[in-house]
This record gives sequence, C-alpha cells and structure tokens, in this order.
Amino acid sequence: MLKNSKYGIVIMMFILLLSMAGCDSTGTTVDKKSSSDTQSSTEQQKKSETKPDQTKVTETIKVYFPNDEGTKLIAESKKIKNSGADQYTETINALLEGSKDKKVVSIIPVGTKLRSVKVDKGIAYVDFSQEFIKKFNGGSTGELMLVGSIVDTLTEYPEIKAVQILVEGKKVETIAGHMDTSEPIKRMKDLLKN
Amino acid sequence: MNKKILFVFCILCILLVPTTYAANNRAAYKMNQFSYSILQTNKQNTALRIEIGLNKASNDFKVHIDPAAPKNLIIDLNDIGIGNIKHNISLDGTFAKDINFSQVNNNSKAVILLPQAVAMMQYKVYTMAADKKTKKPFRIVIEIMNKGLDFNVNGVQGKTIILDPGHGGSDSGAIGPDGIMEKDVTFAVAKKVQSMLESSGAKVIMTRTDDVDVYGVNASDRQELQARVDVGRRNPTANVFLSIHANSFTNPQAHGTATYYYAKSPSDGLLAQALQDGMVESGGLYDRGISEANFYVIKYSAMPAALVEMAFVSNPTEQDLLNSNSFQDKMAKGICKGLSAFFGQMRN
Repeated sequence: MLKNSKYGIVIMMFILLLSMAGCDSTGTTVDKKSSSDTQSSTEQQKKSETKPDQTKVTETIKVYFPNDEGTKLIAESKKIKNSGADQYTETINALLEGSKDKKVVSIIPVGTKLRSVKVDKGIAYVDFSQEFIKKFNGGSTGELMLVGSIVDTLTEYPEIKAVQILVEGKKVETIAGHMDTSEPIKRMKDLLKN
Repeated sequence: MNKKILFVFCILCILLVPTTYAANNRAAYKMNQFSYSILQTNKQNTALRIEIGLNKASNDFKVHIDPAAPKNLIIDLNDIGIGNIKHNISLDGTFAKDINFSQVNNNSKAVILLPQAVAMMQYKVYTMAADKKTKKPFRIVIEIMNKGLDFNVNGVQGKTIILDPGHGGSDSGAIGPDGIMEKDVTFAVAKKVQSMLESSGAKVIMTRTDDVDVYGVNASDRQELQARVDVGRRNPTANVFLSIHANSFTNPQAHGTATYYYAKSPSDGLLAQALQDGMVESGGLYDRGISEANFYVIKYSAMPAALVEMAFVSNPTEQDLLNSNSFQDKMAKGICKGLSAFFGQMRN
C-alpha cells in the first residue's frame, strides 16, 4: 500500500513535468506581426526552438478569405505547424482548408491541390493542380478575390514581395479571362480596405 | 353510283362558294391596296413601312403579340375583309420576313413574321387619310424599326468607340444557375449600345460581331485577349475602349454593378466613374463602385478604357434580369449615358 502510493506520486510528478514541457513549447507561438527589424532574430529563435520537437511548435498566421459579397478580403488567424521552409506550403494549405466562418467564402475551387510553393528573390511561385482553373466559374469579382486571397496571404511574409501563380508547373496568362496573371502580382492592398 | 356522288359534290360546292364569298363581302370594310417600302427615319436609320389600304376609313383594329409565337406581330382587323389582297406576301427580309392575311367571318388577321422576337424590335401602328393627289386610299400603316433608335446619346457624334462584348465562342464566360451564359448577355447589350451610339452619330467598332472567339478557337488566353486589344491598335484614333461583362462570384448572394479601370491616365478613372453612374442610375442595382484592376484588355489598350460588370450572372435574381430584354435596354442606355457624360467632361 505504502509502496503503491510512492509509485503513484513519482508517476504524477513525471506527468506534471511532461505537461509543463509541452506548455513551454506551445508557448513559443510567434506572432508574425513583429516588425521586419526583429524578424531575422525571431526567425533564428524559432529555428533553434523547433529543433528539439518540430511537430509541437505552432505558428499563428493570417490568411485572407473574401467576404460573402465579394467586396473585400477578411483576415482569419490560423495555427500552422512551423517546420521551417515548409511554412509557405502550410500557409496555402490553411487557405485551401477554407473557413468555418459563414461570413466568408472559401474561394479556391474544390479539388484543387497545392503542388508546391517556392520562394526565390522575393517572389513566391505557387503551383496548383489544374482544378484551380478548370473548376473555377468566376467573373471579375471571383477572379480578383481568388488571386487576392492567395497574394495577400503570402505577402504577409515580409520576405515575399510578389506572387507568381502557376498551374501544373506553368505560368498562366489569366484565370477567368480578365486578370493578367502572366507576371508576379504585388500585394493587392485595395482588397483589404474597409 | 358515280353520278350520285358527283351530284352531291356539286350541291355542296354550290352551297359553299356563296358562303365564303359572302363572308368576304359581308364585312363593312374591305382591303383594296397593299404596299411596303423602306424609309429613312434619320441620318443613319431606316424602317420598314407597310401600308394596307381600305375602301373606307376604319379605326377598328388592334395590335397584339402571342406569347407562344413571340416573332409574330399580329393585327386584328375587325369587320374588315381581305378583299383582293394576296394572302401571303414576302417583305424586305431585314425588318420582317412576310405578312399573312386570314379571315374568319367578317374579321381578318394580319400576321407579320419578324426575324426576331417583337420585343426586340420597335413598331408603330397608325392610320393615314386618303390622299386624292396620289390616289391613295385610307391606310393602316405599320412601321417596324430596330429598337433603341429613338434614344439619342448627346455628345458622341464623331467619336469612335471600340466595344468589346466579353468572352464568346468557345469561351462562355461565367455561367448562371439556370445556364445563362455571360457571352450571350454581353453580346446582346453590346449590340444595343452599338445601335444607340451609331444612331447618335458615333462610329462603333466591335471586337466580335457574332458568337465567336476573336483570335480563334485554339488560341491561348493571352492571344484571345490580345486580339481584342489589337482591334484598338488597328484603330488608334478611337476615343474609348469599352469591355462589357457580367460578373460572377462563388457566393450566389453577391450582387450589384461594378466598373474596373487601369489607371494609365486620369481619363481611365473618369470614364469608369461616368459609366458606373450611368449604369447604376439606369439599372437601379447595388452600386459596388469603381476599382482599379490588373485586367488585360484595359491595361494594354492605349486609349481610355473600362470594363463594366453590369450585374452578377451567378446571382439568381440578377441572372434573370441580365437575360431580360428590358434590363438589357436599361444597361445599354446607362452605358450610353455614361459615355455621353465622359465626353462632356473631356470637352470641358
């Protein structure tokens, strides 16, 4: 009986220790709003922190969904796994997941898969499967909101200045016949106004 | 046996002939002349004039349209017999295909077959008194003309406008919940705008005059959009490039009218605002305002350019509007008013 309770206390202490460790790692959630000056240091900090246990480190990011009237983009906070270079992929996947908020619209066509996101010299190259165009029945508003949600979500990262949309690895001239998407697109600030 | 049948047949014929003859004769009035001509209504426009002469003046006629046969313009002529007029007469072919007369008892009916629904055309029916000098009897006159010709757009005389009906051919554009295609709506409105502008003295160049791809069926998206811009390049003195579209969004609730521009010069924004104001005033839909957009045709057109989104084909209510002749008329008039206002501002 006495032996058992001793064991019990040891086990409980061990569990407590574990949960505290868990708290510590989730507590490192980094807010991306931090100014670009401190960005590099926080990046480094993040990297060193992610090394011991990558899967448990999360990051809160901002993704943009169009409102139900298609007049502007609304920011939504999402938590993603922070696994270094793959944060861009995680970010777009968070956008692809859609939103539970009924006041916003999940605009990326159902069935679209993200092939890759690569960042080179300030330009993010986002590559989608063919459903991105084939399943999209958009007018000007739809096209602006679709492109805007991707561009404005990715340009939240200070190191990304513009976004080039690719479909099946190739540049596309337009998504729905209005926008010129043949060149990288800079942050679409007009869509964020209230 | 044979003789008997022949006898009965003869009796029947004798009985029948006078009744039909009498029917034609018992009517108080009788047609006695028919003619048609093409007349010049103003500088640019013509109309078809049909004249049905009567032996005596009568105003007892009524015009109606049968919803089951929307291309038929029907005139009921009460107590008027067909007389010696041919029952089926071919007409000019452009404004009307033919006219068919039929008579039941004392009343006749004239059915004019138009090339498109009567609602798409404009017509006038009136009477003209007998004219002794020209030896013309009292006449019932039917004039048929294209719609919108009476809408005068101020300040567009001498201007050149490039009209780009969005999408077309293999590219349907956005598709509404009932299958209404953007390409058809944009073309219908562009044709109306063309007619209104031309009748007001403007020169209109259409990027497409039918349901076709401008470049070709197998063209890349850029070739197709560039082909539309090229229409403007071939006409560098054109004053405005105007692309007409219907909007679409993932959420069917999205609604209203919007105009996009690419700010190459201050004129682009002015043009967009003038068009937007004209459409909102005329169509009465929610005003989504004007916005800058990186749209191909307005970006690469050298002259002031705008892309109008009349209403949402993805919204069930607005889809029905876009598909209706009356709303298409409103949009066309709104666009013309906008152009008129824009040229007015440019002059000042």
